[in-house]
Amino acid sequence: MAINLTDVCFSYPEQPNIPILNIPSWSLEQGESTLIHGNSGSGKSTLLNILNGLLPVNNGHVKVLDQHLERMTSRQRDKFRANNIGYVFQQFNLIPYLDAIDNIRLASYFSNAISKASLNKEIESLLNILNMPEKDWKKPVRQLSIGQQQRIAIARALINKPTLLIADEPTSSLDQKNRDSFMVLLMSIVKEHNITLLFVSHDMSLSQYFTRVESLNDINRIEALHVN
Amino acid sequence: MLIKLALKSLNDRKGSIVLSIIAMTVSIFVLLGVEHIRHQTKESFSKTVSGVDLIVGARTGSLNLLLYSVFKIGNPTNDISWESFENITNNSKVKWAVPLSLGDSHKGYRVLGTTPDYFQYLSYGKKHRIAFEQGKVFTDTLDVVLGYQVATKLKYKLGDKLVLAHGVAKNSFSLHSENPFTVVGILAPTGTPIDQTLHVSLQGIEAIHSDGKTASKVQPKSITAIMLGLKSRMSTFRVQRSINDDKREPLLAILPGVALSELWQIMRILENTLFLVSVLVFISACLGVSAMLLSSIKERTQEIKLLRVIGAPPLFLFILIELEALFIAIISNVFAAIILTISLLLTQSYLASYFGLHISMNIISFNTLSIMAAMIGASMIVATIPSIIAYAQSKKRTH
Repeated sequence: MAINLTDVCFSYPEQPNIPILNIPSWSLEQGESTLIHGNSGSGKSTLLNILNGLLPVNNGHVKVLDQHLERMTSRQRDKFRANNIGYVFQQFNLIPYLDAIDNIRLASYFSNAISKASLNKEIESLLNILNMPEKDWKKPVRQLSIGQQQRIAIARALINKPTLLIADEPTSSLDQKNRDSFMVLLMSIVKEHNITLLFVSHDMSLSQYFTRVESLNDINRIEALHVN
Repeated sequence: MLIKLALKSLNDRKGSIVLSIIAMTVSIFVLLGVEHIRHQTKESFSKTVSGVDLIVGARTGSLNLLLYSVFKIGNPTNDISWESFENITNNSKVKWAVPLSLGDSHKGYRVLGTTPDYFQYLSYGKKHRIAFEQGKVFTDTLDVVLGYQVATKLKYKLGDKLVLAHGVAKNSFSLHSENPFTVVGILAPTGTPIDQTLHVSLQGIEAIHSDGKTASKVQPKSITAIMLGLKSRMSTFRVQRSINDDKREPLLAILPGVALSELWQIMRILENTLFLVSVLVFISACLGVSAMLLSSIKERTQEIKLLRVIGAPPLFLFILIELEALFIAIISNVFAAIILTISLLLTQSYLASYFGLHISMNIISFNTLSIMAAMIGASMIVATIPSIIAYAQSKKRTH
């Protein structure tokens, strides 16, 4: 099981009376690619931050890749995240003043998945797979197009050979053409490396790429709390 | 990777970083400069007189007498008569007495009239004798012995003829070109005002003033000061009192060491004020750097979030901000040291000829290095404020 949530409750410490998440039960099989759609304000980022271990839950069990996140210290969760979870955002996926290679190298710095000796080779092969022209490898990424930046973001997310890839609206800032090529590339890589993909978007037109499509409103039962 | 990230991030925010570095460089420059010059002045002053038990001059303040007789700073208030010199020389407790006659110049350098005993008895530093690099002591009225700097700066060599002027201005109107002096000796460098001095006999001084009449045996009527060596140190105070109590002419005898420490006491207030001001300037520069880093954290919310998501622990953010402060401090220190060295290079000869201060170019000493280390430490401590905020912000959460 890639993700298994039971009786998860969450509210921010500043506003303990406003529950953000209430998930009685939800799970994700290893190797599945799932699209979760939800409007902004539906608790999307909160859920993702719980899954990657940045936010600790108030109640319930969070099992990611068969590890209990709620039993780890924050230091252990940082390490776990670096080693096992790849993450792609809508924007600001990269440190703008570093070049592509350094951005990817920085991600590997926090993990011990890749040995120092093979790191450069891995980076080169990833950038080649993602169709990055070699002349752009050493440019600060802010000089590159958004489409190129998102492809480097995938390379960065994959460098530590994660088993779970979380993508948070990664296509929202792309145009139609770039979006399609991004999705094709992402799905082929995910398939090839047998990575579990959790993809969050409000764009239902992406449904065709996924084996499973869910609405966040069905997972997150805050309304049930209000009734009680 | 951490260091690379810190350097590239600084490089990315050049504008505000450069201003912070300039502010810090200026404050470190002032701090180092004050400390270096203070240290060097003390060293240069203390090593100038040694082996002299008493200095005698016309009645004035003891500091004034010390400054004009030894350091050639300022002008003598009054002369003392030749009779008084003879009286003192005849005192049975006096081992040697060297007369000094000041008040003339050559191209901005002071001319000192004295006797050959000057080179025999006077010493500098840790009892170093004055040594001749070339030539010998003056014997004739129109012979001159040059200090090392005078010879090198004005490119004089043995046998050259030069004209001495009355008065101390650089461009004196009353040049006595009828009486050219001949260079007979050049002294080895001493690092004291001796290097900036031209030495002639007392008769030579009289010749400058006697308008062309080269009398070979002109008896000087008056001199400016006397350096005394006593047979026994024990009698210093007794001789001092007998000179001070002399009824025939109002005289003042001082102990160079005592007068020097009086000088330090006056200087200390100035030194401490300067030091305090530069410390305050430095603290404000540190706070400026911290404020800059703090506002950069606000701008870098996204960056911090990203770093956290790819697995950076909060401690990483703390160290990152501290490192940025460290680099700013190191760069500012290096710049300040370079600028200080350059400004010393430019002002060295000026300080030496106008104030008799010999400031070494080498600013690397235990003293300055410990100040630099303290400043780097202080800026790191002040930078803990933004670092802790970065730490807390990254720990709290990411939206």
